[in-house]
Amino acid sequence: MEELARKLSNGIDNICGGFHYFKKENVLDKSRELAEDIQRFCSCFLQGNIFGMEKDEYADFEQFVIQVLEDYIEAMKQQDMVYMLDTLDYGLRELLNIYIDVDAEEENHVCGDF
Amino acid sequence: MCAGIFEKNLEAMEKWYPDFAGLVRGKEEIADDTKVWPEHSWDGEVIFRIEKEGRMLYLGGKRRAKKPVEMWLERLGKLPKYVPVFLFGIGSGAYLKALVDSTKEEVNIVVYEPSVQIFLKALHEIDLSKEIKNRPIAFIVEEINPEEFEAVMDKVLVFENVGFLKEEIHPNYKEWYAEQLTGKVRLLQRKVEKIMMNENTGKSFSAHLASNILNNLKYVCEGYNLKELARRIPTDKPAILVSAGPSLNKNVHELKRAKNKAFIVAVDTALKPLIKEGIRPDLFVTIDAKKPFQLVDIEGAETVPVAAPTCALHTIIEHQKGKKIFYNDSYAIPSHIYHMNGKEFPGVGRGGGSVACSAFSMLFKMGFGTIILVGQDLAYSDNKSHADGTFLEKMPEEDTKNMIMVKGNYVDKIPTRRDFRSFLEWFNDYIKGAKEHREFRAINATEGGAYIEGTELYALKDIIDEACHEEVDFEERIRQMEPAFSEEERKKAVEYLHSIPREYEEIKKAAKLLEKSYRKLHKLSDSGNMGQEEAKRVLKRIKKLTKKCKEREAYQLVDMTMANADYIIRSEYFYEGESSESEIKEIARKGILYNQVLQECAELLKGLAEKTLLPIT
Repeated sequence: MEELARKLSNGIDNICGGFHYFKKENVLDKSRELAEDIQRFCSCFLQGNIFGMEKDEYADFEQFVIQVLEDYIEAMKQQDMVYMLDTLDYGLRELLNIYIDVDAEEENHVCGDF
Repeated sequence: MCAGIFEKNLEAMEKWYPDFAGLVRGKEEIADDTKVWPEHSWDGEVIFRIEKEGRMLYLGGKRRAKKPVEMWLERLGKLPKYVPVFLFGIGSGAYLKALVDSTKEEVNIVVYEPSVQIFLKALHEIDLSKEIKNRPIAFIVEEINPEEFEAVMDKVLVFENVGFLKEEIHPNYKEWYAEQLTGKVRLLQRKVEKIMMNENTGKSFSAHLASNILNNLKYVCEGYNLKELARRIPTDKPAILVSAGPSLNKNVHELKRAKNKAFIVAVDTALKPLIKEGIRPDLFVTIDAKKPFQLVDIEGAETVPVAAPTCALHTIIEHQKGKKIFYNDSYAIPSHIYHMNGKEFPGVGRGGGSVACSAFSMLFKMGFGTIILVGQDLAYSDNKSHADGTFLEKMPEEDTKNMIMVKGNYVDKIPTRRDFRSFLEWFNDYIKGAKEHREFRAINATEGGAYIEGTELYALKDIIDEACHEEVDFEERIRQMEPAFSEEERKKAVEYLHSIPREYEEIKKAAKLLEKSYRKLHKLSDSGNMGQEEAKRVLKRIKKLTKKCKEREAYQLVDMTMANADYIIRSEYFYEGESSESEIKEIARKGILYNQVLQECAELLKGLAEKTLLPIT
């Protein structure tokens, strides 16, 4: 899952960073390429309470995951770039961050891979 | 909907644009096919979702609306004063608010909104009054005041800030308003091209202009001008304007039949092909300060009368044995020669940049009811830029596959380049205006080329048969022209010209004093203990001396000659120092440099003026 999360995270960085900083507007095409991975990633959360959460907490979590999937589908259906960017950057990314140590990533980033 | 917010926004708008606020009130009930649904994002912002034909689009993030706007600002970076920012689409006002909050009041913001529904919803739902009060934001709304876009653009965009121009399209607007947005963005790009073209032309010609004007002044004193030409030439006959487009070779021979039946005016580049064909035009027009003399260097051309602005290439003017007819191109010294004698020095009005544009404008101003264009391709007919026998005996075919395409006279599309297209647009505009002004026929007898709006397409042979009948000896009419000045008036003008070298000496002295003042200012800012009063005093003196210097008629030529130095100073003007002290230091540094160049230029022109003007008797 961690590897998949990282792959999706890179994809989102490219799509959202490309749009916000370089005016690249191929958001929907690039997002479509992530569809299969998003489905694989989210379905894991919906197969059961894998983190052993409290019942109510899991229900909220499950709802959050469903909302992300619904938003992704709706953004694609409406061909809405703004909707898609928001769903990926502030919806899906929350789920990805469960598997990615964001602080450590940022630390690495500061060190610089370039 | 909140009437309170709407009124508050309009009241703020009234401070700057009361008429526009009134227009908005009048359009409150107007609707287009966009429905706007306000929502709250999860981070507490008002966002809009818009609907059209069953499709819905967000104009702000459903989860986080603030963050994308912050990232946008980060991308824009720090905007210096006077930068023009064109926002295409207001959305829910978030980008506009952020821009106003994060930039200085001098940053010029223009908002273009293609949907009146979105605009009105924003005014009803979002309190923008603080931002609107902050500075005069220009709002252009498609259903309200679309015609103002160009006027606003002309006002906001100048050479000094064009390099900093920001064009930002609101996310998702391209989905539904692509056509309107493209139209406006295209207008902006054309404006930028024009500004750069004019500036580059100015820079490239600047060194030659002063020399041409000073050398041409002795002929200006002879006193032949357009007013007298228009008085002598009967304008109820057609005029034929011969340009040097590639199609000229196809029908130039036909012009023989039009001799003495139409007033034949050639642009300078068309002179050679005409003379070779045995056709002597009645007049030719030259305007460029820098042009290969070879274009007119053919036996027989030297006796053709010439019409020109005073800055035209002096070697061509000197070479001509026929009448030299000048028109006013707004240079101070030649204008003064007429004004001091209480005479009018007419110009040709709005030029379009090419010789043909000026010649066309001249013929219209003279009063011609029919102007026939020949060789006015404004495009690459047969992949060539000009007629054979102009720049080269055989003009080369060029690769035109990546060129701009425009509507052709006899083909759907024809390749052209940016400057030709700019001239084409000038012709389109000018002919439209000319026809509104009076009854006027523009005939295009170019056998190829780009389509000029408002022209009637004719074969040259046919229009000569139709319109050119009565004989008029145009050459004789020009020979009979009388000078504008009496001998006494001419002598007065010569006396004035003899005083010009002294003017340059005075400018040089003033520049020296200015340099001294700037040095004082520099010293003050360098001391780290700059008294505001002391700085103000020096700046006041600088202002006074500069004014004194600029008031002199002769200063204009110095200013032009220094175009390159001027460019450096003007384009750097928009970079700001961190504090007022460092800003003043920078002003002083540039002031010193500028005035050193000014002294050199004044000295140079003094020498040139002595050489060209003192021998005039």
